[in-house]
Amino acid sequence: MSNHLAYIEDFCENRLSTEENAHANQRIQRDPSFAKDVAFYLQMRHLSDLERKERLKALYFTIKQKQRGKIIKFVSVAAAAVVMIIAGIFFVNQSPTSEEFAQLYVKENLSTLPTSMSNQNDMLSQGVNCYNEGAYEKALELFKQINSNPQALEYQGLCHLQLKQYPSALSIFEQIAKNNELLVNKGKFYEAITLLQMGQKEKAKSILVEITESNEDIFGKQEAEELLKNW
Amino acid sequence: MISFSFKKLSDQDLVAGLQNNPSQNRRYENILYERFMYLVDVGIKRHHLAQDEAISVYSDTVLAAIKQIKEQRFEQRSELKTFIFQIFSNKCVDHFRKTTTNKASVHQAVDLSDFSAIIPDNQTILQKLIQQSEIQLIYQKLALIGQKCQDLLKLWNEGFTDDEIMNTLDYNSTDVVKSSRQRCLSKLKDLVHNSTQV
Repeated sequence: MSNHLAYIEDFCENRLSTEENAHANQRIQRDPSFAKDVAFYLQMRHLSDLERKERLKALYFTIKQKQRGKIIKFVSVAAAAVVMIIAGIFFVNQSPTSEEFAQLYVKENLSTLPTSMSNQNDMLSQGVNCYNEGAYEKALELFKQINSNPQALEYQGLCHLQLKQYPSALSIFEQIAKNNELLVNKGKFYEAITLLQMGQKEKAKSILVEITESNEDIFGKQEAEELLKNW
Repeated sequence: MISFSFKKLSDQDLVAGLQNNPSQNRRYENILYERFMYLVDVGIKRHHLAQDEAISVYSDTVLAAIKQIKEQRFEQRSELKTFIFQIFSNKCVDHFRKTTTNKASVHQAVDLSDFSAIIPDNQTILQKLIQQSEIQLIYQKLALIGQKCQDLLKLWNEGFTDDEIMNTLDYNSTDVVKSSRQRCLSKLKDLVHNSTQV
C-alpha cells in the first residue's frame, strides 16, 4: 500500500517520466479504486495547501507590521536627526558669550593697526609694522620710546592686550579713559574688552552700561549695546 | 524566523534556494513571499479585489510559483517578477470567474489546475471524487492515527520538506520520513474510506 501511495505521490508531484505519467492518467480512467486513492492524496494536498495558505496570509500581516515598525523607526530617527540639526543650527547661530565677543573683537579689529602714509614720527610707523607682523614685544618697545603721544600709548595698551598682559593693558586704557582732551577716546571700551578677557564680567558690564548710557558719541557705543543685548 | 533585513538575493539564488536547499525551504519561501507582496496592492487597485481577497490570491500565487519552481518549470527565461506577475494575473482572473459566474459551485471544489501531471479530463473525474465533506472527515480521522503520524502529517501539510521534517522530528533519513508519511497516509485513508462506506 505504501508503495502504491508513493507512486501516487510521485505522479501528483510530477516526478514520473512522461510515459509513466501517461500510464497513471490512463489508470485513473480505468481503475476507480486508483482514481479514488489519487483523489484522497489530492485532498490531503489540498489540506496542505490550505494550511500553507493560512500561514502565508498570516505572514503578510507579520511583514506589514514589521514594515510599519521600520517606517515608524525611520521617521523617529529622521525626526531626531531634524531636531539635532535644528539644535545644531541654533547653537551655531547663537550669539557669542561676552568673553567670546571680546576675543573675537580683538582678533577681528585689533590684529592690525592702520599704517601711516607719512614719514612723521617714524618710530610709530615701525612699531605699527612690527605690531601688524605679530612682533608685539618689539612693537611695545618702540611705542614706549615715543613720549607724550596718545596714539603710541593706545598702541602700548594693545600690545599688552595681545601679549595677554592684561593688568598692564588695563592700566594704560584706564589712563587713556581719563584723558578728556582726546577727540576719540577708546579707553573705556578697551578697558571693558580687557576686563572681559580677564574674566571680570561684572566690572566690564558696568563700563559697557556707562558707555551705552553716555550722551556723547563715545567709541564702541554700538558694540557695547550689542554686547549688553546678548548678555 | 522571517528574515527582514536580509541582503537582497538575486532571482537565481532565490530559485536555487527553493530547489536545492530543503533544510532552509521555509526561509526562501518567506523571502519570495515578502519580495512580491506589493502585488496585493495591484490586486486591490487593478482588479478591484478586497484586501483579504487580494492577500488570498497572492498567497495562492506564491504557493503555485513555489510548486512550479520546485518542479523546474520556471526556466528563468523571464525575470522572476514577470513569472510571478503572470501567475498572479491568472489567479485574479480565476478568482473573478469563481465569484461572478454561475459556475461558482464547481469552482469551490479543490483546484487541481496546478497539478500539471494530471490531464484536464482526469481533473474533472478527480474533482467529482473529492467531496468537501470528506475533507472535514479527514480532519476528524487525523486525531485517530497516533501522535507521531499526526506530527508528521501536520508538518507535511504546512509545507515542510522531508529534509526539514527529518530534522524536526529526529528521523534517521529522508527516506524514512517518506515511507513513514506514506504509511500514515495509508492509515488515514483506510480510516476515511471505512467511515464513508459505513
